[in-house]
Amino acid sequence: MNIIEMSQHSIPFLLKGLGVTTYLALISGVLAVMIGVIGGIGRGSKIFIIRMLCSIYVTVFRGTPFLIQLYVVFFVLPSFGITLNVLQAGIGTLAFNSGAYISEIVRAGIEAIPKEQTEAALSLGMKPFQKMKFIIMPQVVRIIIPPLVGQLILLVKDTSVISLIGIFDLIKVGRELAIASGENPLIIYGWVAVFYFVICYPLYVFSIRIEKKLKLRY
Amino acid sequence: MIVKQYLPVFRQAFLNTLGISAVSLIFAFIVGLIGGLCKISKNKIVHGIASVYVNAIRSTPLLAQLYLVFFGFPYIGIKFSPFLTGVIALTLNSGAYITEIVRSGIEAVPKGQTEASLSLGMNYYTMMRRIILPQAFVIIIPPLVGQSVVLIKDTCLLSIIAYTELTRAAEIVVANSFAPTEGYLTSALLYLSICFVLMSFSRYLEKRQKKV
Amino acid sequence: MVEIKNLNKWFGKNQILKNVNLSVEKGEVVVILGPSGSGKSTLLRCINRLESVNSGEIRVGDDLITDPKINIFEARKKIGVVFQHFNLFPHLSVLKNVTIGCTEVLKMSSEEADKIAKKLLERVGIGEKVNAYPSEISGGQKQRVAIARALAMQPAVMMFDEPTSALDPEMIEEVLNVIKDLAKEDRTMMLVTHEIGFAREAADRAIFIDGGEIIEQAPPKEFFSNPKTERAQAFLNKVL
Repeated sequence: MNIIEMSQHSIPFLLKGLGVTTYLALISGVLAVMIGVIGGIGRGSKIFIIRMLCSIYVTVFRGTPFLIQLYVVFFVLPSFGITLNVLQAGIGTLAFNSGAYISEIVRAGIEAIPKEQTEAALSLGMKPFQKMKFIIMPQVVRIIIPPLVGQLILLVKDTSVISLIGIFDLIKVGRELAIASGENPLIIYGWVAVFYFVICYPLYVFSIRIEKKLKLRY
Repeated sequence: MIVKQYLPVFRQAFLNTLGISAVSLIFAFIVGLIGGLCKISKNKIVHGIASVYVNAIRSTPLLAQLYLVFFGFPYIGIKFSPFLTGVIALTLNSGAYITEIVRSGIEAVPKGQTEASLSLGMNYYTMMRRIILPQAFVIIIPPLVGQSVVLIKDTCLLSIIAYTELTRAAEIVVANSFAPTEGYLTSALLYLSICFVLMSFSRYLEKRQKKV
Repeated sequence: MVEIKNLNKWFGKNQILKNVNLSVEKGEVVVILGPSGSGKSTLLRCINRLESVNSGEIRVGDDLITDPKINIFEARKKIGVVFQHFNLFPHLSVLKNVTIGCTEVLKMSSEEADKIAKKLLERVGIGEKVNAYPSEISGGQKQRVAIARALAMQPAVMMFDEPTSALDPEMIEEVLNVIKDLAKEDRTMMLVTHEIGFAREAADRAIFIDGGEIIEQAPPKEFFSNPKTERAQAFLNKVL
């Protein structure tokens, strides 16, 4: 088969894999942001237990490779009574993994807001929750969007690791096609790379543009 | 306990992980340094090549890059050992990220430094070597340590190409002993110990920099 | 209106405020003067508990601020603060900066809040900047917005912490005029400032603080022309 025939044959399958990748990325991404915001706020909590638990969570998930976390969730948890299927394990682990990095991003964002903003808010009689909701978090959101988008790009790429516990995402489809065809796999992997590029590169450009637009000046 | 039985396997894998990480990091740093200098170059071709390299790597997963090198290269007639394949893939991958780190480091050096150097009559090479790069180096150390942590964790994917690092060791132990808990958790703990040391070091560096 | 008794505050090993006793009547305008590091800003910040105290009592109206059991959030509504560095909320428009306290803390409707805010912004002279953002207006304009923001809460006491120290010289006058205007009304005001001219014109009493202690207090005419203590004399010699 020549290049064009091979491409024509593989692309439909690859697109299905792309669909799985996108699905994994979207669900994990949304969960990761929610976990990250809670974790980031928890890291700064005045209550020792909450602060400690969040710190341990972040350290463990940032200090071990994603693949190992996946293996632990998929192979070790059943011994403790929690059995997840490939999809649940993949999405859950990815969400908590990225959530740890997002916690750090959120925490850095909160710490970047000048102390004076808190003082102005408190002087108006705002309660801590109101201060967070109306004054601190809106500014935090603007500051963290570029590193957050960066982390989400990493999340999209990490979905490929879930293929190693059996999910048929873009890269697994590519791998199976390459094995099945028995011929030069460079074309197939080439298309795999192109598809990842098509999702990730626009995100990267988006983060640069939005950083310029949302820049806050005090 | 199972772990005691397989301790030599884990020990060897631990050393392998550190070994391949160290080698890859050195090469990645060289690549990143060259790449960073290219990216700040005014020469459009040089800048363009560096940009394409960085964008291609950063927009594709390491796993895909690994497959390309390990399964794709044999078809062009080149076959590398798992170790070499790992080093190449990790070097090219981290090299792109280090390119960006070096670039931001250089750009973070105040423009006044360049102006003062040029006013003293220095040429580009001298200015870079004596004034700009030394200052950039101090700035980039924390993110560089961060990237090292990433690279060490990335070595886990080399288990796919049969290089016996910590993850593959865990797989071997689990396959032989049917004790996934001990196998994977030991591996996790060993990774955690390496990364924890590096992450603490990075935090210490950041605190020191903040004081300045 | 404001009563401070035997206030002491330490910062680590340094004693910032030493046995401060101060009383401000309703409608009185007091100016607090002193060298840098004398504790004047800290004193102000203790009054709405932005800083804690080690011992002593602070009373604003009926609220015992130093009592840990009181609802400090309620108490803060009655104390308006204008900061040296304005501290406007950069992500909110000028109008929203002024109304946010009204809608979220005083629970007014947004129409009511908007009406009050627009009137106040007119009064401080920037009615036309209602929809601008803080990054788009000058320092003097920012500080006037900050004053409007504090006034919108209809506080019983207004505190100004060096309101003109961060401004370029040509903008100081516009802000001082607004403050002078407020002083003419029957408002209780406490100002920390270096603007001697303002103190002479608009204040009822000048209070001199040095090293965390109140050294001297008197009506401005008396204080500036006839300081009774050595330290006050030394300070005025440097400043006048």
